[in-house]
Amino acid sequence: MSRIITIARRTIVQNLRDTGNALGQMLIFPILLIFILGNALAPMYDVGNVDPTVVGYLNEDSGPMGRLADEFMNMPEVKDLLDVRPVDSVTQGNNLLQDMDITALIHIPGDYSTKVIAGQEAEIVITVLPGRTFRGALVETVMESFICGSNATQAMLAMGNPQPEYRPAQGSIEDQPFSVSGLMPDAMDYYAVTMLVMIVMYGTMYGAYGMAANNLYPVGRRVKASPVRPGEQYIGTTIGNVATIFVSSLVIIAFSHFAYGVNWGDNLFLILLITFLHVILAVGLGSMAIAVMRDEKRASVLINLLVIAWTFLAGGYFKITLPSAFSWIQYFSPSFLVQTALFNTIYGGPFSQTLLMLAAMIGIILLSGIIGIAAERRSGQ
Amino acid sequence: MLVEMKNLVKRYGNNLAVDNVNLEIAEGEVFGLLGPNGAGKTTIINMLLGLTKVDGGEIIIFGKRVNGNREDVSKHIGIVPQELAIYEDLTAAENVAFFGRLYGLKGKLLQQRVAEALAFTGLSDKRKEFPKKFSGGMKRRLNIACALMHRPRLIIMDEPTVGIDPQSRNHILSSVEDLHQQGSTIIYTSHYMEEVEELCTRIAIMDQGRVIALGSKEELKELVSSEERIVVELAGVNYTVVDEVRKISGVKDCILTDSTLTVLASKRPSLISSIVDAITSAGAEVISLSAEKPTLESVFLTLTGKTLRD
Repeated sequence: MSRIITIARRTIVQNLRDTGNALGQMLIFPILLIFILGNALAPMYDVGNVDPTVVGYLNEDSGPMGRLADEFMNMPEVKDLLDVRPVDSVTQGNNLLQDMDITALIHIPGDYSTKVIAGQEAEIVITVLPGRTFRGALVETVMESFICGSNATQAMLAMGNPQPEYRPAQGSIEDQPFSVSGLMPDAMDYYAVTMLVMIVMYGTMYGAYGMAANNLYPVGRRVKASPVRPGEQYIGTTIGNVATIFVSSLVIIAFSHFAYGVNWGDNLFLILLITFLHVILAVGLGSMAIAVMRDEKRASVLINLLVIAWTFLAGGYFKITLPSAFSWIQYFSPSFLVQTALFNTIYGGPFSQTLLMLAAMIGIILLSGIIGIAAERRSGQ
Repeated sequence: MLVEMKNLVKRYGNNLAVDNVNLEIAEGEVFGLLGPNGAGKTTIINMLLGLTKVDGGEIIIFGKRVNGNREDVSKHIGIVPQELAIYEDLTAAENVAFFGRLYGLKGKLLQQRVAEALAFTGLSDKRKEFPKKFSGGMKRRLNIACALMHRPRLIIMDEPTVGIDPQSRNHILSSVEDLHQQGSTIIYTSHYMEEVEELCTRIAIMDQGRVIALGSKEELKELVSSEERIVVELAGVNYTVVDEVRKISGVKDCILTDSTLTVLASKRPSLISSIVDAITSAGAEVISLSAEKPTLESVFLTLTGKTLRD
């Protein structure tokens, strides 16, 4: 045990004295990037007010439901959400859609009241410009609210009330401003997590160097010639590298929180646990790269490329949304596993998914550890 | 015997790196392993340290088989590797202390041994400096200090003087003498014949994985006592001189370096006059001529047919 501590302590001292690498890459680089990206890309992450959606409105129904629809469209609550432009025909409405003068066309057919009163299936046709999914959903939601009201009106007509009045219940359509602070990351919050993940992933370089020094450098072979037991050198070096990177991570978390006000959520213990496992994972992957390739330069190039690819796949540089058919690719990125676990923890995502991510990380750690120790033993053949 | 190697074999694929080597080294000896690159010296050292798997035979050190007792045996061995094996980011004292801790030293004893090892290698005043600022010779001395601080019973020095200045080389050689006087057992490998000749009590000459001669330097020289080495200083040198001299009966080798011709030949009465005649007929002029006693270099040349630095 004392030899493991000796090797770990030597590794930490070496890492700290390698100021260009340790301080430059592991601390200053991410702190600057969080600040730059967090400020430069802040507008992309702001949740602002939604202007009323411009819709064409064609009501061909002269029956009671048609009248109710006109009343509904003139309600102040609806006007807050929809800028209603009456049109005379479907053709005119479609032309406006084509010219992108309106986002959606609401068409109430002439037989709508008849069908509703007869208890038949009736429909209101909503046509939305392609790609306007959010505003389309907004229009649909508003019209669903109308349909709920019209169903109640139909029931009243059926009960014999000839002049039912459309009076929505208090709050059925209401623009309720809600605070997203703490529930969604702003740019600074987002990049604090992704840059932390990226920079810890570059900790693979520490693992690679440690493994190379142990197995490919004369000084590593000299250590092997001392009374160290198999695995002690690997474990000691790994502990030293993990400690270095984990302390660097703590500094980044603390600095980003106190200097930039980054939200790290309420469960700091879990955040630190995920980060700690991530550090072990990164060091383990670096060690494994050297163990497999037995060439420090080639392994370094591979690691650099992989970290860039993993960070990209995880949306570390900017958010990416892959088509659902290809979203499984993201699970091949360890950065994605870690980011998902961190974001879930900070913003209240499903805990079961967080556990799944942690399990996958532990699996990678075990695999890289087994390969690393096996390589240590193999080097003596 | 402190070290016993019995029928030692190591293969790398089809290459037989160590071919059935049998060696015994007694306590207190300075044992020289001599051979060109690829002779198998470093492979044998790595097997002694348990770093390289033995394919055949066995190694017994301090009465214990290395295989199965590596940690126990290695506690009492100090290794000075051929390549510099020190940490550039640790000070001289930290380097020595690090290796001391690996060998179980701690506390005041550790500090005391660090001071002793640095003093022994003449680095006391550099204890707080980083090796990256050291000369090649100082790095070599630190390389040695890291091997000595746990006072090993067996010290293995693999080419400890490669590429250093004469001052550091002399310091290292006198350190080896001191260690010998203190009773340490040393295995010493070198390309430098004169070092081995000066330091070692017994020498094994290796070539292509095999021990081709073994004994004290006197015993080895006796092997080639029927030969002599003639050194001729020339004027008006041309390369036909070498061809002419090689034609003489009994000449085994002839090397021309600048204006110095070195001839290795069987002893016979008329040899020197034949050489002078050959030189003159080739158009060169003899400035001086001397016949030398056999050296390890000539022993090596005779036994292997090549110079040590081939």
